[in-house]
Amino acid sequence: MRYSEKELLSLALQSPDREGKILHRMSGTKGRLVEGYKDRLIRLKANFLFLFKTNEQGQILEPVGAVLLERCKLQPEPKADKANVFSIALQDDPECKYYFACRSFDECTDWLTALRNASYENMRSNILLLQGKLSRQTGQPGLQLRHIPAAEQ
Amino acid sequence: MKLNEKNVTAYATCASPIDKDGYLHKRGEVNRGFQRRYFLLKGNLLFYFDRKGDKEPVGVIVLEGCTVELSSDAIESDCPNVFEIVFQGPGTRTYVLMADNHDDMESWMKALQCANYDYKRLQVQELQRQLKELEDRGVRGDEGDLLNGAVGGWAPQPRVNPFDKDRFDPKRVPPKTGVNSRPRGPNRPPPPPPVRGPPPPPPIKPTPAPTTNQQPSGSSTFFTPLDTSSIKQNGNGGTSLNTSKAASTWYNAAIESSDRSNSAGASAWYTAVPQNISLTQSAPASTSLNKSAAKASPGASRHNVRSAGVAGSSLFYDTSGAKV
Repeated sequence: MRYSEKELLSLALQSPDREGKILHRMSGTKGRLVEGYKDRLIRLKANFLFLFKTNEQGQILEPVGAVLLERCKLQPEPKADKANVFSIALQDDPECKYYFACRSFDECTDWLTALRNASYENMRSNILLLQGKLSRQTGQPGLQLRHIPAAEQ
Repeated sequence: MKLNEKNVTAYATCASPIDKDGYLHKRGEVNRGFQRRYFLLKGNLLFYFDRKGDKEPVGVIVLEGCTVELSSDAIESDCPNVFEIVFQGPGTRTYVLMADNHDDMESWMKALQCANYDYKRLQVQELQRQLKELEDRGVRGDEGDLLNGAVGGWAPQPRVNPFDKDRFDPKRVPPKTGVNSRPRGPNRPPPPPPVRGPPPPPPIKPTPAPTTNQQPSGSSTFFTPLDTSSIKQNGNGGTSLNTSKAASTWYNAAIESSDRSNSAGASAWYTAVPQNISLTQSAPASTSLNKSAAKASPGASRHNVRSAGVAGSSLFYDTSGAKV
């Protein structure tokens, strides 16, 4: 499947919603070699999580991966080999997970919350919820947001 | 940069909500001709397939950081209904798309412009702000501000129209026959439904500032009938006449401006729940009310306040009626 790679890259390089250094490894499907944790910088932007390689000085090198955060399962992994680990499991292959090891429990929780709220579907249901609340209070269907022309965004 | 394509493909074909779908023609990057593709918009991802129902998309466009514009090509050449998705930045591509007709093109352009993540985020923030504003108004209502309070913290209740002649009210059975009814001749049209005094404008009470803590449990507690005796104290009989005339004028204006279907009788005055109160209107009725207030004796100085309150309130109801 073709995808707009350069455009996605420019998205990755914009100022992120959340960013942090983290340890990352993949868990393999059966038979795949499970590698050890690697130093990575992860950036959350819109509903994508981007992974960057860093060098010894902590400078960002090239992006090495992008994960679409829709319909994925996010959970803490208390029984993992390290502490404060959470995982992202994707719907197409639940065995193939992204493991991320944080430096503290709070960091782990914060990331999980941020990633959970990042999905477009989550925002969509938020909007429906708020519109419902508004219409219950005002007796009108949800107050309409005026169309914001693209130029103003 | 490796995108997890399997996951994205799975998202394209899974049962998540579709924002828009349909056939469009897409211009190739190398082959400059238009190819017909089935497009599927899910959130900020625009997938395109060879055909509807295909298992795997040919490609996906991430709609972030782009603008949707009419194509300059369309004006130059003979291709109408052509628009573009334009990305900024080095090495990025412009996707040229053609719809079958003008309406299709417009509807796609609108959908794509609103698809991006930031727009949705703005929507959420705007709705949260509107909710907060409503809640804040409810809080302010407790501070005794009549106008704000009339709106705030007041959940719409089913209102009871005491003037509804269809509704049986044992306290207010209109005299149809009997000692107090008007004499009716054989050819006289029946009198209009009896209205007790002037239709009650918002309460004028010779009491301290009406607190909006009298939150209505039913409408009747909030809008108590005008105490006509107190009005007469203000001046001569003409004043009260003016008042009632003014009141009925105001009342009629409210009726006319209200388009509620149940606005029979005085119910229009009850039913309006104004969302935005603006004090820009000044109904002629309120002028006479103000005049009557001006004639108030010093001893009834509170009436000035009340009348002003009435004027304000009549504005309030006029506005609401108009806005309805």
